[in-house]
Amino acid sequence: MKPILEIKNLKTHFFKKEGIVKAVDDISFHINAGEIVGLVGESGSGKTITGFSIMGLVDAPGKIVSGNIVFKDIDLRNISPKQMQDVRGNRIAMIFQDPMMTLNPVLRIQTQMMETIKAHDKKISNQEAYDKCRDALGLVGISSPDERMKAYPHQFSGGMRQRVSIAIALLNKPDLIIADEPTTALDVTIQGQVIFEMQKLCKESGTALLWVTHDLAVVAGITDRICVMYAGRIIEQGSTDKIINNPMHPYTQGLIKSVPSRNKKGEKLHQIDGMVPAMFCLPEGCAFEERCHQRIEKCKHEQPAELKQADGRYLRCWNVGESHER
Amino acid sequence: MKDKILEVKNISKKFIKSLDKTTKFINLLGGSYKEEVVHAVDNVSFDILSGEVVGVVGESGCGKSTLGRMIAGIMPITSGSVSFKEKHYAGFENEKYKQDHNIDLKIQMIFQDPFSSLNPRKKVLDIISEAPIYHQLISKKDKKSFVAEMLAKVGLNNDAMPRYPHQFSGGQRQRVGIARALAVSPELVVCDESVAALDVSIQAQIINLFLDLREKMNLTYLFISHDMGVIEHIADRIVVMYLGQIVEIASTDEVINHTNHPYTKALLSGVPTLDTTRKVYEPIKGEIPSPLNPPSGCYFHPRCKFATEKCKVEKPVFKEVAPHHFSACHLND
Repeated sequence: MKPILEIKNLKTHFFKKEGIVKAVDDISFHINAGEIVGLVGESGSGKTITGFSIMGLVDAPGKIVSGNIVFKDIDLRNISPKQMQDVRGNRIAMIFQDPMMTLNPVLRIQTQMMETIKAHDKKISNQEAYDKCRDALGLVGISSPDERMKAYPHQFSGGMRQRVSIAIALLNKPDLIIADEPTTALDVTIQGQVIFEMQKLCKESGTALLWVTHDLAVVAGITDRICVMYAGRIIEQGSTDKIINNPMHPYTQGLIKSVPSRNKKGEKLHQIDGMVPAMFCLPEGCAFEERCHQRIEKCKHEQPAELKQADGRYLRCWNVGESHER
Repeated sequence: MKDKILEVKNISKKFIKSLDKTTKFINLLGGSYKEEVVHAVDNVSFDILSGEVVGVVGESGCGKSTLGRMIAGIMPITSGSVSFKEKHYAGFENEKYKQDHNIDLKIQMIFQDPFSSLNPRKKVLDIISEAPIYHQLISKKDKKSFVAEMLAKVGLNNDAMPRYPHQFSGGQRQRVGIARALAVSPELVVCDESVAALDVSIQAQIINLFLDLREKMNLTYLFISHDMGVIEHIADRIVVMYLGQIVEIASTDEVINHTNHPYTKALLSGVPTLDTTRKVYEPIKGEIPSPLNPPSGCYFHPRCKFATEKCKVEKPVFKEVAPHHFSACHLND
């Protein structure tokens, strides 16, 4: 099967006065049609910038330096801004973390939703567009959508607003949705509802989903594959089952072990010492070297290459994995 | 049996939005505008034993932060009483008494956001030493050695002293916040979502620090969080709040293994876990109702799948369903 989105050696750097920030540095992954892929990492690991790069939303001083982003045979890096507009919001949609920031506070929900349809379909009649929007609201579980269409964003609760942004993302039946921390700002029970809704909708419409989050637990239950990012690189990627139940990279192992439910109650949690290195001055070798308890001499001097393992996962580590001589 | 360190009895907090002049005038002419009252915390009672970690969980808007702030004494109480070591105090009312007994110092608070809870114009040295110097716990000349000792306790080194908060990462800043709270040697620490803003790997470090300090300094915690996973790990007892009221209190094991209240069940099942087998979420329906206009009867009935006619009319009584396990639900009758 041909993947719907393929990213190869993508590098997005930010050129600042203080130096170059390699926010995304040489990452490659793909998403198949209808697949749910999780992109996991701590803040500053480059996961959001990966999403922005796909959508063509990287602003100065940031720039995509090299690499390919191929979406259904279209190279997104080599098309005009106008062609990109046809893809963005239409074939690829994005859902952001904070629904209060993404909805325009002075426009009615119906205006904002119909705008999305009309931007990509100039011929559609007002009535048709309205009907589509109302149905989409109903689909994401908002009761009495006809009345809600006339409301303003501030009249909605956080969970409802996020539902509206999901509805907007789904309007043009995209092939891919990039969801950037869509449940982080929500309460636990509402988070459950939103995950449930997204799962259902993606299954029904066959939409592929890239779920960007810092929370491994959220993606554990819903994704097919997981990519773990650290300091701008994907350090491990593979099927969800393998990553969660048998992590190989020391960082992934540490992350999973530090989740409270994996520890005995009341006892000290497993912790990864130290902190994420400053992005201005990443070490010459592996970025995780300082915090790693399995480091070897080589880690200090040389960037680990991404190598395929026997079980199909990709790994960036000198010490762990089969393809390296010790 | 351990001593009670804190007893909270029927405390309530009302936020009243009073009428403006226009509406008052309309009322004079025969209008019927009413003041809007929010019961942020409604008749809550519980106690904390010495050395215990009590976790408070609930969704946003359930009043858990308001409760924490009232206990820490930084928000006045509308009614009810809080007593620390069997001595009453309530918010700001009993100012003289509090000064005599230094209750303010014995109860300290650590906040959620390490970015906004530290003064950006002060050096760490001054942030940590300000309170103890003001309260004459240390003299000015001991300032440096005292701060060095506090920093060591929270796992920072002396380089931190001359630096400003913006020069630290989130996790380090939270450590400074913890050092500031501990500088006046409190006995009870109220942690309001203290790990929520931190990254996963840093969160584990800070939770470990809390556990460490508890042992070393004999601390008692009131740990407020929306994260059931964190609470489950750190707390001895769990208080579950919904819309300003306590719906269930019990030891952590009881709450997890013999969950009584449907809301607690919903909270527990809604938590995503590191389990790759559970592929379908079954969330509870609906959202937390507006506290301006709470539902009749049991506040949870519109979202509860077990709700009966009785739940819609009658408020459930908070009672003991098993030893030391309290719950407010009609299903127990």
